[in-house]
Amino acid sequence: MGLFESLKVSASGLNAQRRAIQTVATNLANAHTTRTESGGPYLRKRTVLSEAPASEGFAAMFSQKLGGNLPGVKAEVVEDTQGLKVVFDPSHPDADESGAVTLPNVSVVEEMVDLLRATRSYEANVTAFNAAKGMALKALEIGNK
Amino acid sequence: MADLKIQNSIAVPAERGLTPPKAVHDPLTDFKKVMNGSLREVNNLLSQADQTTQEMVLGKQDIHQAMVALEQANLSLRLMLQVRNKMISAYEEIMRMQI
Repeated sequence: MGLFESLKVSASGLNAQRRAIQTVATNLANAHTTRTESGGPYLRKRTVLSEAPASEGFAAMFSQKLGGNLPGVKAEVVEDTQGLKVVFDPSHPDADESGAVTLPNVSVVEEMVDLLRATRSYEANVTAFNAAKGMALKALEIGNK
Repeated sequence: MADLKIQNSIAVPAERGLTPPKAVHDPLTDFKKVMNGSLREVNNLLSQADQTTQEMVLGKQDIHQAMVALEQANLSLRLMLQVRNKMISAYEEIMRMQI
């Protein structure tokens, strides 16, 4: 079904952006976390978006390979190990012998930009969804006086 | 719709080489089948939307997933209603026919 397929593509975009916002939230919440389960400071998480079939199942996959359906999007969360900040703070409980503390590589300003981008992208997906729905409803009016 | 064709009611002499077209399917049962199938699909979508809403309330699904499921059910129901309207109006048109 062509109509529901475009709705599903928009839904996959909504899912992905929801995941992105969740990632930003966890980054902001852990912006100063120095202890994690795996030891060491919190590592900033990033969402990587990849093309993915909007609906599951063999038929949808087959149709996509044939060029019938266009793919949706999928969000994956990866850890960023670069750019950990080391500050001198001997009174900190997690400071090493020389008094240095490793802080997470989260930049609050960058996270705010990501948050804004994810929010706007979510809105764009909702708009695309509503447009597809509006077209379908308009099509149902064909032939009405 | 093969029943409505004029050729079927007019007896065409076979020697002229014109044989009336034969309906491959029984249109009545076919239409019934199609209607039944689409009704079942609409019903499936409605119950799916119901289930997704319930899962959303329980915290297993996101709000937008519930909304998408509801919109799909909404659209398919409207389409089904339009098909029904067209069917009823065709029926009424035939019933108004002068005999």
